[in-house]
Amino acid sequence: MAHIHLEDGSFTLFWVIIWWALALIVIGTALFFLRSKKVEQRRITIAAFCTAAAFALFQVDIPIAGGVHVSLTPLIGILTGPLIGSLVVLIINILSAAIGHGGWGLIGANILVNFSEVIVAYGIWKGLKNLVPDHFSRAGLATLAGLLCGNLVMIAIILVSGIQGVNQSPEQVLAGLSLIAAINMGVAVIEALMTGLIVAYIGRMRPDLLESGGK
Amino acid sequence: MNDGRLAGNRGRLFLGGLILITGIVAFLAYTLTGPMGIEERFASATGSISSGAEEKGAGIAGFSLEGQPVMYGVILVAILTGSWLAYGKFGV
Repeated sequence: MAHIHLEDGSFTLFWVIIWWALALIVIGTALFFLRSKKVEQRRITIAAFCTAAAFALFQVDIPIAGGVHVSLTPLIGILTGPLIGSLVVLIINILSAAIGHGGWGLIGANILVNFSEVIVAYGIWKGLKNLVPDHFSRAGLATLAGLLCGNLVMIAIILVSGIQGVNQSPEQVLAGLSLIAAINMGVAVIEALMTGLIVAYIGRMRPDLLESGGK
Repeated sequence: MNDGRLAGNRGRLFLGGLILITGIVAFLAYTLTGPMGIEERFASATGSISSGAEEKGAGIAGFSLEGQPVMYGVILVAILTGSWLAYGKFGV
């Protein structure tokens, strides 16, 4: 998964405000559409359990390649959709910062990274419905695409913002971040298989939860 | 072989191919960087210095918690309680 693991003070105040502002626009837009639509009440329960599961797993350092973690953001996108999903990633990022995982100033940027994972996974999940009817494969593909997008957004945000107090050129930073993205994608494979299995199970037990989809 | 099964096999084949390619790329990247923690990897990539401000809890079998374990437990219990309340009220 992609998450900007830099400390507060890494970005200038200007870029902290910019990323926070963009994240608030995303959240505000989601709230606007949610208020104007009738949301199924059971989506609230699904969103709550997604928040619990994602928060629980997000903080666990898995001993692969020295330490990585999964995020479940593509699963959130598939089960809740981008509107509710954006609120879920907001809550997870705030609670993560509250326990000391990630800087407060980077929450805005990380919401944008995670939201890109949610919306791309949701789009691929819905878009491939006729081409790939198999739940496992479609969820796996959606997860890989979502997490790849998240990594690209993460790299873009860091390159655009720049990091205070470092002497590396943008090319050097890009090369280093590309390696991180490649390793993250290795973890994305595990997350794709996990998401595929979970979605396939839900598809067998409660297909209505997948077919009504998120909003 | 019907169309549904064919489409299912096509999806699994495509996913399998992507997983294979992604796995190889990730392994090659790992051989270049070696084992590193997440913060260490970021610090190395960006040229910044990690102060180690992110607290790491005690680990079990190599798995460890990022952040304060007590706060993690408290917040997780609160979210789970909220989830069960939502389940009781709205169902699934």
